[in-house]
Amino acid sequence: MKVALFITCLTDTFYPRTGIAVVKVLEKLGCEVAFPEAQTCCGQPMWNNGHHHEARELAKRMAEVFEPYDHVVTPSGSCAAMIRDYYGEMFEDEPAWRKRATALSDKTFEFVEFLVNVLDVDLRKHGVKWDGQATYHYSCHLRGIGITDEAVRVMKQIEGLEYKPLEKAEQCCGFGGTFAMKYPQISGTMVRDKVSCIKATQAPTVISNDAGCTMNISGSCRREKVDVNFKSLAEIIAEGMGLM
Amino acid sequence: MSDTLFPKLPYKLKQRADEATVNIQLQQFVNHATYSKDVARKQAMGGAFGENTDAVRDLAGQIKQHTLDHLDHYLEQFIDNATATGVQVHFARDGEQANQIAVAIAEANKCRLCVKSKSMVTEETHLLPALEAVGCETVETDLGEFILQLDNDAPSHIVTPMIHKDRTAVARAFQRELGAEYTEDAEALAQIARKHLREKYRKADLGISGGNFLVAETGSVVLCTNEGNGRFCTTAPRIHVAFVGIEKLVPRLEHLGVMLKVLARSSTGQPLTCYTHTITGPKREHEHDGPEEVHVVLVDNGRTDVLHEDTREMLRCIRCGACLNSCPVYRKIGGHSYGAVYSGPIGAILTPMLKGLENYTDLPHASSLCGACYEACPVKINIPKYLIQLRRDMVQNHLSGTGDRVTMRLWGESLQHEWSYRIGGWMQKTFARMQAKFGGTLETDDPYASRGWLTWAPGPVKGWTQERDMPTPTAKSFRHWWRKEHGR
Amino acid sequence: MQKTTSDRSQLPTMGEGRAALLARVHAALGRDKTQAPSEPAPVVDESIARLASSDADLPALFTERAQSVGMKVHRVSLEQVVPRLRELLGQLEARRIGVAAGSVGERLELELDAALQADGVKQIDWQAREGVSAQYDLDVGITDVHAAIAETGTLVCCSGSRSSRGLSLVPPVHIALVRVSDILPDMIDYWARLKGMPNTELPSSQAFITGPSKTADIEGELVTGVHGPGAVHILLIDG
Repeated sequence: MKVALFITCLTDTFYPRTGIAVVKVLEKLGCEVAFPEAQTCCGQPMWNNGHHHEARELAKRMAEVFEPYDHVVTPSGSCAAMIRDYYGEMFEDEPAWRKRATALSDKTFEFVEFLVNVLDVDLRKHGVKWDGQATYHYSCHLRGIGITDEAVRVMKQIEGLEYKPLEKAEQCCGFGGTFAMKYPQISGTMVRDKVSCIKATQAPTVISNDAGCTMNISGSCRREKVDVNFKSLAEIIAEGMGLM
Repeated sequence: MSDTLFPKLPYKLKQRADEATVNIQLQQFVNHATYSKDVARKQAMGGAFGENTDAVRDLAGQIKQHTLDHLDHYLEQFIDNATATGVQVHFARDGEQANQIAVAIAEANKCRLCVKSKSMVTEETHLLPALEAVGCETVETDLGEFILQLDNDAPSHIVTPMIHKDRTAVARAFQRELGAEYTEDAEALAQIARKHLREKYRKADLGISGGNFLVAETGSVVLCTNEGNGRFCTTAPRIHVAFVGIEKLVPRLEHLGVMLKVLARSSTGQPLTCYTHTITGPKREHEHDGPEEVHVVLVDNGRTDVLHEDTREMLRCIRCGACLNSCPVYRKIGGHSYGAVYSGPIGAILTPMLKGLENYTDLPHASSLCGACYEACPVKINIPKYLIQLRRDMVQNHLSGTGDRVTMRLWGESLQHEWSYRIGGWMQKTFARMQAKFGGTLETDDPYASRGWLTWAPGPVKGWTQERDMPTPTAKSFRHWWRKEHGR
Repeated sequence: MQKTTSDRSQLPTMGEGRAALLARVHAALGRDKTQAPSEPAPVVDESIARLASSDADLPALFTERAQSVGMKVHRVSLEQVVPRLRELLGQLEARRIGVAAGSVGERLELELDAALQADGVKQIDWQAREGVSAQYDLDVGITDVHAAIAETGTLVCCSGSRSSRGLSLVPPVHIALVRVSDILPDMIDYWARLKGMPNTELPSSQAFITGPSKTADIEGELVTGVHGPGAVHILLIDG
């Protein structure tokens, strides 16, 4: 299966190891992975802030860059949700672009979603082993693409991984893109709530798949002196497969 | 009181919100109460509807949407049918006119004492002072609202108006205003209120209520309450006046049934409110108790502006409060931070529509767009979509500030080209790493995983680092790795 | 004074008037006059909305749900109704009560009258005065119901010539007499029963009672009896 990776700007810059893991795991599972280097950003910051002209221009670029591929996989639920929820609506008055943009919506998947719903992977068959306790942060934008307990199900297929459920798992960590910058105090109060729930699990590792959430929560953990390690599920799987 | 829900315009959210985040009491109560209600909602909806939960929300949303799409038809039906049962229907363009109608009814009947049940519309119109001004003493009877009235405070939640107060506040209010002995026992406090309000019901000659639903087919007004005060206010006094927004219609009783099935479950996790009261006309000739006159005041007060196609969906709202309970921002800043009658996610979209976007530019941005509200909403109002739509309207109407505009324009432009994306990334990286070297820590081993941390940063990142550390970009990007491993 | 049907169309309306409101609604909907809906109102799909069907053991389901919302259910045969009521009233130390339970049968009313007299419980004629004023000093209100709904454990108490709005609300204790045959599976079935009835014949008040009067306004702590009855007893009568 041919798959194009949409790395997203935050993962590219802050969490390249996640991207590397995604590539290695997909290749291991028999996918042929491409990385179109012309990709930049899905336009979510512009769209969410009401700058819809700028967002549309970036969406067009995305539609063009990924046009040749059958599947697009991204390690970010947030960017996947942007493409899936809004790319159609964006071009209500431009039917030609609407068609191209929704074609991208239809073939874009968040990494874990792709593993479970497209590749139908059972990690138990791949002998994935990763020893340790970990909790998991459910990022909000997974709601937008209809993902609920997929990641937890995948985690439970990993031998040695002890999953510690997080209280208030569905509560937003307070990142919200520019929200964290516009209302730092509200955002800060929100993320400290998340950190205290993480602390309560006593798990040394937090599995967090969205770069934005990870930046926010890990930054708050560090400020609050809660010593935990952050990894994406892709990294855990890659490590568990002996690929990293 | 008026200042809390009717602040000086344009309203700026930041001050109240920031105060709320350091108000320990508010953080504890509001956070806890909303979270537990959210859990109760999920259990009640899921427990009742199982895998049909989403489908029943669709159905409820479709019923409301259909009614709004044909609101002229259903309004006329309601007016004719209610009138046929002897209800007097009045029409109020705005809050002031609605209040004038109530005052006229009170004066014509020489009403001296009014008992009032909870109603968001009367909060909108600010009815209470209008009645008091003509010598009609008006008592809030919902326990929460009653306490807020004693404290000269304002409601901060659609369903649980005094969610921001604790039992000591109640005890103090009863001691001070009613001469009651100080007690923090909830049961005892409720009994004090019962005794006091019973006397009011006995003497009241006017009852005011809101209305959760209006049924077009029958001309009925439907009230959902738990305490029973709604039933009392519409049973004991000789005259009952209901203030109801024009969007509260449903076509037929069977549709009412669907709305009732989702309202209480979404609101408090109950199957139905303790008292769901359907009123179809005043007391009939052969009946012994009940009001002799029933008036329905149909209130517009900005609703027809929201009824336009672009925003019509917002009027589906049945005021269950589920979006407030599920909202992580509401949990932290409480209702008063929204500076208007309707708070939380629904308030953040409805208030700018009802009171002018230029007056409430902060509200659409005070959200992390997490989508919990949309998931909770029993009539599926896509609140995040409307938050974004309002943000767009702000940009288009030049309400968003020049700095914001220029930043987004430049940012968007730089992302249009691979070369500028890379330069941007390189600059950001270099700057951040320099910062980290001098101001923070730099942990370097794996170039693709290493983290530096900023503990302070200027400009737009200042707010971020005020609250938490900021990870710096890694030494090498993913792009670099790809080129190295798979590159040409 | 109750207005007669003939002058209802002339009831005064205040405010801006019907036409002015409708004009704005028309403008928002993009038309110049009221139009009948082009598509029918959504059909209530019972496969989604119905939560209880007649297949269920209705008395058991009703009992379970009524108890879960805090009402007390006593299952009795018709013969046991009066003895059980006497027992309950004794436990409640009721001295003054109001009764509006005509539908359960005249024989029962007579039997009850005699029994209460023997026990020294005073039945107040709640119809003697207009309104609810005669009901404030009652210890218990006893009513029949128009229906009961198993799905939610709900009592439906309607106004009418032989029933009272206040007796299920004003006294601190409400005792409801429910016959097993009163129980409907789902609220859907109740609406179906009213279908086609002219609205002027609908009871002016239909109260769906699902639990005693409750509040959680004080720090979320559940307290009963804040305005209405603090306790609701249901005598669920077989036969």
